[in-house]
Amino acid sequence: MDWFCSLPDGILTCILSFLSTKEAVQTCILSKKWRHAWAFLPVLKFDITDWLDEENLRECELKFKNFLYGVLENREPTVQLDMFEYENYIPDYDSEISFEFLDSVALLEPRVVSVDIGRGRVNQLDLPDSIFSCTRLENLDLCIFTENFPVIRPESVHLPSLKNVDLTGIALTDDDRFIQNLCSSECPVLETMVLELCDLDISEISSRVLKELTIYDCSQSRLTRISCPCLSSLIIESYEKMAGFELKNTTSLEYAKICLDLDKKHGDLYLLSSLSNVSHLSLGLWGPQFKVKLEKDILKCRTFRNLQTLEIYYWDLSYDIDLVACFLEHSPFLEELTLLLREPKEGDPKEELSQDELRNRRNVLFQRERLKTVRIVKPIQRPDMVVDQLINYLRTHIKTIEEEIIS
Amino acid sequence: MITLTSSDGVQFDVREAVAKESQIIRDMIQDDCVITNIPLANVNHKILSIVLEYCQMHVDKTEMEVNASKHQTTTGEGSSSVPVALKVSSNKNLNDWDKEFINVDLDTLYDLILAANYLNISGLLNLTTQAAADIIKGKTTEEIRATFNIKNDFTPEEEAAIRKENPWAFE
Repeated sequence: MDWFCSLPDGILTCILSFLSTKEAVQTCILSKKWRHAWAFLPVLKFDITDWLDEENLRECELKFKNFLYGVLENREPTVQLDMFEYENYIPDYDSEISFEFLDSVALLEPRVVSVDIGRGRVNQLDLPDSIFSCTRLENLDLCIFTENFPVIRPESVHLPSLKNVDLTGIALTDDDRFIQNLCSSECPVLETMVLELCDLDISEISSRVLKELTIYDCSQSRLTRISCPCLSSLIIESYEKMAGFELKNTTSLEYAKICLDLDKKHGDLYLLSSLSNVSHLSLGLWGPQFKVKLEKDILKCRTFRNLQTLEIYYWDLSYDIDLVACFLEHSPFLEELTLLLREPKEGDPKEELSQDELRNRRNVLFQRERLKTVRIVKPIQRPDMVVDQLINYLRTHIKTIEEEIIS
Repeated sequence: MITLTSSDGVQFDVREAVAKESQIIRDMIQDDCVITNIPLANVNHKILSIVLEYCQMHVDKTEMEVNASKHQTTTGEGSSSVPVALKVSSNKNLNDWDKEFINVDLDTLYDLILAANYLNISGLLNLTTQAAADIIKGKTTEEIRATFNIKNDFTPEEEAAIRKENPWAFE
């Protein structure tokens, strides 16, 4: 018996939604039951790789474009569009992409739009303004891989339902006002913003509603101030030298992970006092500048009164014991401390940390009553002796430690 | 505990949390909080036991995650306080488990889709319809027809006409 014949119609649509739109459309010749099934799809997924077996890239682009317009013109117009995904990724290949189709997509009031492009060079992405004024749009994902960083300049932004925005590979400047618009009252419910591999030239990210902000592996040409009173999670991770961040009005932060390397010319940090309410903090000391500034910055702090878990990445036994001591002094309720040691480098002092030296550090600061778990992650090349010494030392001074994990 | 009775009269005693993975049962319990026995007219015992295995696993995993996050932080209201690594590893295990779980023959898959649809278990409905889509993926029209026993009720002329009218779809 025909496997599909007595499945409810909704189920058929559901199954087709998991296929690429090309595969879904081509089911129309299976039988009469399937003739128009694809036209009711609430999810459209276009990926140029479905056509890439062609030798000729121009030909392939043309077929991809014809298909895209064919679907948009022939689908059942009354069916609301839930999700629209567009992937047009041909690296190291130069061609103009026209985004007119987004006008038709915007008319269908999608809930999710994801546009993913890879080309050699693209200077400006002419995305039509219509896509920045979809009233139902909740998730917007723009991911651009090019040799340069193109800009996006919508004349206006009005996305009253937008909750999540994810931008990759885009130049964001004060001039184009894209970030400012996203953070304005035009997007009153924006909760999460992810900026990945972007080129940041913005003086401020200031939002009254934003809850989660992730800035991952971006380049940055000026100091950016982050001023978001509702922010509960902040992740800044970058392996390039950064001009830095200043936090203002971020006392709602509960979770923070900041892994940075800073420019030499960077002035004093004003970071830690804005993190005073966090319950989880991860710090990655990617470069010496960040560490030096942090050590200065921490002296300006009073207490981390909610801090329960602290992780320090790329930690260096011989130099950074003071930073840990400072954190312990300022964090009365710390329960878990994780230290991820960096690999030894040439030119490191032989004797990493002598007993005398340890004793001379701020002994009293280690007396934390709630600290139960100390986790030390060390690269294989590290001598065990040093870690043993440290653990012994911590044990002597912190009576509450129940568990040490060394891996 | 709640007793679920399959269409062929077999009784299953399950925790309320497990039964509540089904939206339809959740609604019944909400409307009538003393309900203890629910007959399920459209699901036989073989399929019901598979469905309950799924629900049990997913409830256990969720509870484990909640406990882990409680352990991490006593304030723990925001999901952001669950360590990301823990979340990812537990999701990965569950995904692997799901993959293994759904490796069934077409007849069972069919019954599971109907059961998930009837009981309104969104996770299981997604998993089963995705599995059906995965079987279609990469197959030619003829292969799909053969796999699912679909009878081609187009005449060759009709089929040619569809291809000709919609060249964009078959390029």
